[in-house]
Amino acid sequence: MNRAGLEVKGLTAHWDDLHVLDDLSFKVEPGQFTAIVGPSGCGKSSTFAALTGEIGIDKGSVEVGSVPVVNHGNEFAWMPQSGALLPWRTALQNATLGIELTGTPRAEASDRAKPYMDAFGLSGFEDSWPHQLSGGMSQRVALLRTVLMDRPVLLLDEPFGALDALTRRSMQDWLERLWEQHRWTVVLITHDVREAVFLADRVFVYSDRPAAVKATVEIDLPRPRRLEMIQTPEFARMESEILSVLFSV
Amino acid sequence: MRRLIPPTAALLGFAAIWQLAANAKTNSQVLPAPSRVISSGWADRSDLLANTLPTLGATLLGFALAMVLAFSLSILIDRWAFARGTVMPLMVISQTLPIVVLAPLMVLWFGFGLLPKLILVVLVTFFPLVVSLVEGYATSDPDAGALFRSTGAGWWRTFRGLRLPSALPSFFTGLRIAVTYAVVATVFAEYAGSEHGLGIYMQVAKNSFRTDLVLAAVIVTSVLTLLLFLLTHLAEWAAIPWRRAENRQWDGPR
Repeated sequence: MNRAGLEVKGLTAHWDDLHVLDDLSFKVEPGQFTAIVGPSGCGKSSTFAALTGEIGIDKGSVEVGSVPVVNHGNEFAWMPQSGALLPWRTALQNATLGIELTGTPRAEASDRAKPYMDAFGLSGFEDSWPHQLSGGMSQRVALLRTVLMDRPVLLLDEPFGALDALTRRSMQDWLERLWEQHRWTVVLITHDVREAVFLADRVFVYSDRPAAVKATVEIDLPRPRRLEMIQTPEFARMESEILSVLFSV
Repeated sequence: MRRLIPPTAALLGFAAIWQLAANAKTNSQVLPAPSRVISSGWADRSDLLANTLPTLGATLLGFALAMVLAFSLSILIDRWAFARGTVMPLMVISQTLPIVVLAPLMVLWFGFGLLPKLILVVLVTFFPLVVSLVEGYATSDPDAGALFRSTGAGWWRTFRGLRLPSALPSFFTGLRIAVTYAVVATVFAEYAGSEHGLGIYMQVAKNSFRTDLVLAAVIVTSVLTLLLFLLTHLAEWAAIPWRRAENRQWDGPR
């Protein structure tokens, strides 16, 4: 499995006329799960847009595995908030879209995806159309598509943001268990502080736009993490620490 | 099948009123009853069929050409922004031309052969096809577009994998609009002058005061268009299987 650290140094970027990132710096260790939380519209998604090359960078640098990223080639596997499943592809075909786009023949792509269907809770739904899948399933298909690309860093933009509270909890539990097995380098954007504390080793709290890292909070809760831990005082302390940074002026 | 009952009933009702009106009139030459239209048409069936086939052939060929042209133009417009500014206004202007005046001129310039028919069919049908394609491409999910870019997919991969399939539902709407114009356009060209075809058949029948045969040819024209229209539904059903599953869910109570 391909994984590496990520270091963002002094990133400044504009989205059209909007100044979205201002001297943004953070560091993610290889195999570390990090989360970005921040006020809505602060530039969380713009960070990913700058990393994937969707918007240009005015200043600063990005390093993956200590190597500067120049052409936004194949360092990142990005999952948009909506999941962006294609309605004319079945669940399995959507899962293989990413690797097919990078040149894997369809048959080989299917062979690579099939062993994961069970762990992603998609067995028996390989040939279902996206509109026949539940919200949670759709996001799992999108996550599988992202993971299969086998890129050093996974960028997940609010993968569970549109799900109902119950489904979201069980998805977080599922993702934690899955991550324990694979230890991908993950950057997760979320507006759910509890989700960030539950899943991440390190949380970056963003300021208002233009975004910069206001505080870095290390989450030293033991792993494996289970939903019961949300009730513990340590968990509550982490959560309130992040919240107090978020709402401090 | 049950959906066919109301239109069929309406059609039969219309035929009944027509029949009564025709029976009340003394001069059956001016307004022949539907029964007479059918029987005259049937009596002249071999001649009618001999003229239907060239009309159908010209329509299908013209429509195929229109589709090739529409796809090419839509790709041009989608690929290069300046093409939209150059081609679109010309296309709109092409749609302002009065076909009634244009058809005889086409015959004057290009003769009684296939060419004027093809030109007219293309002229009348390519526009809804291009518009439906271009607008269809634009409906593709922007997130999916960004996803394609993030994998490094180039224009062709993105077009084939995202923009073209996104355009299919819109394309079939355009196809249905275009196909209903296609037969009429051919008939129009033939009416202005031709060796064969339903248009010239109507022209000759009208000139010999055989209104019953004119109307019989009108019915054949309608049936042709209806068949082509049904064919587009069949093609859509085959081309968009994911929508089929959707419809099965959402068709509501029967």
